[in-house]
Amino acid sequence: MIRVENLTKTFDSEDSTFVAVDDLTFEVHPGEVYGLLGPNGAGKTTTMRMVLGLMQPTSGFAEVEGFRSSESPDEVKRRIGFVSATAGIYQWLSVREMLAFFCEMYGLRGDEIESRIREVSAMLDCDSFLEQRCANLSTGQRQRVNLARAIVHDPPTMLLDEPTLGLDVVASQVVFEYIRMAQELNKSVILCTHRLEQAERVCNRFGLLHQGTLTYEGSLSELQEMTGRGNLVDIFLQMISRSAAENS
Amino acid sequence: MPEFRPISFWRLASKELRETLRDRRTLLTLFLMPLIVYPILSLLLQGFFVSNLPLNADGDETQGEKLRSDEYAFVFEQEETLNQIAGVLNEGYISFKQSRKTAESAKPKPANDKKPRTVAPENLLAKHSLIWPDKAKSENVKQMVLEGQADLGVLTTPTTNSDGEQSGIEFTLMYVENDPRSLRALALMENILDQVTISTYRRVMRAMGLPRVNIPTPRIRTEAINLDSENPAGISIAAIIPLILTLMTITGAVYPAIDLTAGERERGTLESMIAAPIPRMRILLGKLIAIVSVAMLTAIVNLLGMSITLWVFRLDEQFLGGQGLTLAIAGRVLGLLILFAAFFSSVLLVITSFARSFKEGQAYLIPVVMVALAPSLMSLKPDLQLTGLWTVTPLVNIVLLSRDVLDGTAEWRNAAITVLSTAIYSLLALTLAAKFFGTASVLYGQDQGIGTLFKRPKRSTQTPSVSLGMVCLALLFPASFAWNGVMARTALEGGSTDASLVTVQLWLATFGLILVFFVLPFCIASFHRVQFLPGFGIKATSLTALAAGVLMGIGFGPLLLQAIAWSTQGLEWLQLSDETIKESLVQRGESHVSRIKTAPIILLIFSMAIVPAICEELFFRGLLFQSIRTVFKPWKTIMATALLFGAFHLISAGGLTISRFLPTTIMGVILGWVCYRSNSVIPGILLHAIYNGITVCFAYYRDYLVEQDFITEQQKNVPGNVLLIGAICAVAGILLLYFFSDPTQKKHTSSIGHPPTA
Repeated sequence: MIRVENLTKTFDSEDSTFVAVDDLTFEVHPGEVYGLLGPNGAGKTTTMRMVLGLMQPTSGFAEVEGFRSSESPDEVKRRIGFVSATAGIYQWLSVREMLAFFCEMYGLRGDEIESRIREVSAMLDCDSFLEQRCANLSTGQRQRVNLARAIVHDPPTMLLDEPTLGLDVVASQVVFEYIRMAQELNKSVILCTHRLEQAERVCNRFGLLHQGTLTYEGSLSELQEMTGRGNLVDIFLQMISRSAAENS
Repeated sequence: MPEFRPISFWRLASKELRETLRDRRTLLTLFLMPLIVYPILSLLLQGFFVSNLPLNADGDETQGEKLRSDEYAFVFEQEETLNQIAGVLNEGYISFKQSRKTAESAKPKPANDKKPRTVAPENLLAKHSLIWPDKAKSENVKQMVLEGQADLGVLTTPTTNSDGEQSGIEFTLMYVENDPRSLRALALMENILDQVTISTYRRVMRAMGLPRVNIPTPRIRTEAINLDSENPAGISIAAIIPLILTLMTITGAVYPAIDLTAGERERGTLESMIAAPIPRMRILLGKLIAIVSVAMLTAIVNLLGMSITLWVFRLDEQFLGGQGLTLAIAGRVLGLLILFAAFFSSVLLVITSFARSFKEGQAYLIPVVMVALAPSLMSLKPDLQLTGLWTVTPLVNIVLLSRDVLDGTAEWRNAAITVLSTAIYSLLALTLAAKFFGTASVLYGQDQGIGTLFKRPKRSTQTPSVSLGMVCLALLFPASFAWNGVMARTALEGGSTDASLVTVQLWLATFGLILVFFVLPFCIASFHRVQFLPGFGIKATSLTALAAGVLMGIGFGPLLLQAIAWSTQGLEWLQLSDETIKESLVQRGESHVSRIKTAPIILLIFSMAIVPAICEELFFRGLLFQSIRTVFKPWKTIMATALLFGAFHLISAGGLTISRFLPTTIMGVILGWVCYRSNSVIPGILLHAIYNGITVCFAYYRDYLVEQDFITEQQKNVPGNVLLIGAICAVAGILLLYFFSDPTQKKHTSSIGHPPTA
């Protein structure tokens, strides 16, 4: 389970303070896929980084399986699988070597490593290129390896930050299939994506983030009821135009 | 969830190494230099050597041309001497050549070689040059050999027997130790003289007007002329190797250092690594091991390439002297390589940890490489010695040490200080790297960089960061060393036992101690807005802890005095063969005690017990303990501060005092534990002050104790009953602190017990 409570992040510069995430509060329960949606610069990635413990919040906290990210970052990291759009892979290692390395990073040893690589590669259909150097993989294969890297330790929670960025429909399908699988396996998942139509298909609940603030939160039907709009794209556009009107 | 087993440094390093060594760019750095650059460089060097060697006596042929020939120039003291012995030497020469021919003819010949060859015997005078200086002086002979005008100097001296009668002549053959040509000329002359028969030898004596006596063979004495010592302007291989080591280790370390930090960040793999539950220090250590390995590998491959090239182009003797490249030289160079690679790798790692891209990393490193070359060039200056402040000056010290090690003139105390200070600087670099490596500021390009280290924070803090502690440590080490140097100099120059002078020196020492261990860290901590009281571990504590501090001070006083006695005895036993060292140690200690006895006891207690206790505790168990505590568990913090405490006490005004290391480190462990249990530096200050006070009083009143028959004049060990009382007090203090204090209690933990995780 993921719990975010009054999470705030500000960045100080010489003459001003920029609020990237403003007093964010939400929960993601086991078996739930939470769509954290918003335009560029809304604060989605900053929120993810704070949940993972890569960035310290200015105030508030994030909790994963009962551990606070700012107090026990290592305990939190052990319980999270993190996939980001910018995550790279080790060009000079083979897929197997890279997965084995991450298995060790997450505390797996000996036979556990081999059996886990078998499981994960079967799950994400990586068997055919397991011995290939990562540098020679296609974009879709790379993203599958990235996803495999994130789940080698079988974490109870997943943070997916734009996991389908740059992928075609077929390659994206692998990711969304995994998300459905994770849901069935009772994992708590946060998904940040621009693919609103896809998000609509896989997420149970949504948090619409704009300029660091959680503007709307709820299930699709709750959001439709709140906004009077039929789908996520319309809800999203309404949120942005309302915000622009308030600012002007 | 099962118990977590973190990945080892070696597995991390192995992944980094595998990735780095598979990269074509690394392979290019590794093999391009040895395969292409060195042969080209060697060809140029060969040309340089040949064209720069001096002209021979006639001036019509360069030594370079003669280098490959077997024609030698022999210089004699004067023309007359030469005339007296030339015929004899010629006979010896012909005899030597014939004996070689005989030996060769005895070898089986090919079947088709039927015709016997008749060749006229070579003439010494015809083949080689026999010359003499303008003025008949042995110094001139030496000078001509040194200047390359001759390959060998030959001096003849009449010898006398026990009755003072002239009994024969002695040949002194002067050769240049590092010159293979001179060595070959020496071998030839020795062979010639071996062939001189008794009859011809007597003819020489007769020609020289010496009486006929029965001397079986001529006496030959050889005298090596060291080109380096005679010609300080010359550059030896020992001076060049540090420069090569610097270049090689930098060349080897630069690429992996940038690639494994800024490169990983740029490729997006760093974030995945940081997202794993591994401490950043561990990741960084894995990277450091990989960088050191690649740097060493590059240097080894380069050295191998260089050695092979030198051997192929026959330049090894010019560079390495007559013996060429030996295993001993290779071993020394390898040892030095580890030192250079460790130092440069950690320095490069700290710089590239700030970089957000490969380009930025390169931009940071170019000035570093330029700066690093300057100290390396200093090793070319032969009059620069590894002493004083140079031993703690980063990079200059290891460059000078390499030169001395290769020269065989390294002095172990200075070498120890050099290695120790380099280790401290590398540790500091690594800690700084850990502070910035993988942080949000570097990972996500926030507006922070290397300048944040020198930027004053906006908010104050109760706990000093580990980088702050390391910065203090790195500044304190040379400062303390410099101050000890000042103290040693004043003690030596004013070595009298004059009471007023001793008093001045004690005040000076006290002032220095306050300046180095209190004022300096205080200023640094204040600049970084570390609150004074909690930042230096000054916290209210229980009466029990204070009582325990007092009891342990009383108890450990005699116990540690005994430990010092054992430590000194152990070292004396280890250094039995070196009586000079032993005597100097004893004399230094005795003279120190006799000098300080002239000062008032109150001043002694103030300057040697109270002030050191306050200043050292505020730094070691205050600021440093808490800063290290933010990254280490309590026992590791205690050990780290204790070892650093011991290391600082290695250096004293009198030089390096190895005997102090073990007792001081033990004392550091005790004080660290007291600080941890009591959550305050105050009980430690009491303990330290009482312990120092007892030591001072014991030295001050030693004569009185001897008079009272409490101890004997020669007694070095503490009396048994005093040791027993000491042990009881110490155990009582430990038990009191162990059972009646709680290091986790919240009311004292704001600065020591629980470091904030932020």
